Amino acid sequence: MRRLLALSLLTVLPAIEASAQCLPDSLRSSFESQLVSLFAASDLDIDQLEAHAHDRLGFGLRPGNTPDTRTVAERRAALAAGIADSLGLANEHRNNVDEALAALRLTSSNPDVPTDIYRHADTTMTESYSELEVLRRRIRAATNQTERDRLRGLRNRVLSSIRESTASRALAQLMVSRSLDTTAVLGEFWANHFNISSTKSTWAAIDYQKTLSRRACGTFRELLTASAKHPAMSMYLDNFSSTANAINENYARELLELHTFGDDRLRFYRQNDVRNVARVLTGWGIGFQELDRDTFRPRFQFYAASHDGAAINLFNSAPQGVLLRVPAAAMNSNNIPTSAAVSRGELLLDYLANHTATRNNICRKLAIRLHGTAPADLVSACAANGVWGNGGGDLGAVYRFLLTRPRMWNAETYQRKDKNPIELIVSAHRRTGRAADTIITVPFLRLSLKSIEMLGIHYTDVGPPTGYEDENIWRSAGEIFRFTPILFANLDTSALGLRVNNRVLRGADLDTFLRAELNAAAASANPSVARRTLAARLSTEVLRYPSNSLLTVPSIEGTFLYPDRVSGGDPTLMRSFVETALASRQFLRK
Amino acid sequence: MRRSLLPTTALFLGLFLAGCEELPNGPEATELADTEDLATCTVTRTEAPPELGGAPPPISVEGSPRASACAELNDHLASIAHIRALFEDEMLDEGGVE
Repeated sequence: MRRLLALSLLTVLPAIEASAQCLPDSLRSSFESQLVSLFAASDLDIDQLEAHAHDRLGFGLRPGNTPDTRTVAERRAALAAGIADSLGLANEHRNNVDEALAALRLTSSNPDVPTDIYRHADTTMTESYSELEVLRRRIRAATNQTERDRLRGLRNRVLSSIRESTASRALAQLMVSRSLDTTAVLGEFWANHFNISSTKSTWAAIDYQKTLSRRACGTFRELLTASAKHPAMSMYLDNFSSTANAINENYARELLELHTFGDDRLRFYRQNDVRNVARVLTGWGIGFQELDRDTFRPRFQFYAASHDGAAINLFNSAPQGVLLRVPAAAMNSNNIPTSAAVSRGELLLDYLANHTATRNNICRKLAIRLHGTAPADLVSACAANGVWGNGGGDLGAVYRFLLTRPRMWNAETYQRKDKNPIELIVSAHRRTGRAADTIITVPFLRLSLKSIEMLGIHYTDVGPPTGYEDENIWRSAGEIFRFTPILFANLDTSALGLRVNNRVLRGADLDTFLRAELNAAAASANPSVARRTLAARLSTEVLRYPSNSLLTVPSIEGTFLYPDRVSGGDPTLMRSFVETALASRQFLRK
Repeated sequence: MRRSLLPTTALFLGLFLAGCEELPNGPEATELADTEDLATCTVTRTEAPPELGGAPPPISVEGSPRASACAELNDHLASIAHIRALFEDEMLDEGGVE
């Protein structure tokens, strides 16, 4: 009884802030040593290893000065330390982005148009919901249609602002993430795994993003519970409306098919289990606590009276199902479930988080995210108690396991994965050295989100619960190249520099230098060799492409090696070169 | 998302306004309807009912645990109706008032 009481109390306490680390201090030294050994044994050279790490555990390399004067051993050690750092990064540095976004102002002559369009990036779920609720009440109290329409227009703008803030803050977080930022990469992974849509979950979507991000280094069980109880997921998959008398199966189905088992072949559950899981989760709704006249706090609320408290056996009729007995709910003297019945759903989440199918599914998806592929032996090793643990999935241990497999750092993984549209756009701006203070701007974020949408992802508003694909080929290099002028319309290449006679040339100076060099090459005995030499230097020194592989890109031949073919429209020769490089097959992969 | 939620919303609003007696047939509804405690299942609103997407009104109930359960059920149904009305409002707004 005492245990049940404790469980019921947990449901009304604020969500526990995760403080788990992906890499505890006690493991750091051995983790770094393992990585250094793997780098030394790898069939990739140090340039490739650095590029690979930045592509898989970040959003690509930034421009830098080469050649690197450090020894190979020093670079290996620094790379290992950088990866270790990135596993221990706290989320504090990301909060500055939300504050900066909220501080942005637009100019408008219409007093009804909010000028602080990203202010919801830095407001709480309670504040966002309350703003809408107060507006709704004003609309209802309006005495004439004109006033009602005006207020509805205002509410529409607030809704748009919340949705745009949701996408913009998520993208800005990635844009300003550190060069190696494993927790940012994994935060994005989890947001996609437990996908919601900002169209349907509006005022709850940003809090949901933050809630998942804070738990990326805890246990899978904590993430699963945080998602299951959050108003955003509850609204997105309709579990808020599921009662004993009107069961809604939407969330239960995706919980089994996507969030945990990942089993669409019905090996571990059958259709009747979907309905029965939904019954166990009836009464998991949303409450709106009125804090004062204009402040309403939305939160998870368990409505015991609408809970289906019957004893249920789950999963035992599936081919590979393992029985879960969910006992009948504790009832009060009048045979109504007590608030302790919420523990039945938590028992279910415990079961799911520890299930072999869930372990395999999550390990497989994480392996695909980090390695690009997920062989069966790797997945089963990851899913074993030695890594996953028996406490609901130790995510830090899973990440460390995957990062310290030899295949993570070998040619079989290098450049074997397509960048998705988000990675492509973020890494393009990163590669050209866009300064952080030019990221937090309305035009830049809007154009970047539009570019990502053109390539196939309506970021933070992907309708299907599957989220966006992590495995397929997004677009061919040819298609990307067609989009190039639009996708990279606001590239900032001014930060790119080429070292010439101990001086770094940038911008117009660099362009003038390149034209002079190309003219000199044209007049040389072997123009083709001279142009290739220049292109190779740009490739390695300015763009940090390892070796001369960029020269294998046919479009580079067309636009740079033969400068007479560079037509108008591109403001500078350097920019033309960079755009072509970013549309190259090499850049499209990671 | 764009499908009409109006019929369902109206159903829940209707149930809410009618009180416990009119709950759909089910374990809770049957049990509640069979008891004298139902008389104490009184919902007191402090603001207008949610025909236009009203917030779940504060509810005060005197009586037995069964009466509290009735109030909680009403509370949940009101929460559902409220959220559905919010969806409906948002869809109406997206339709065009600018």
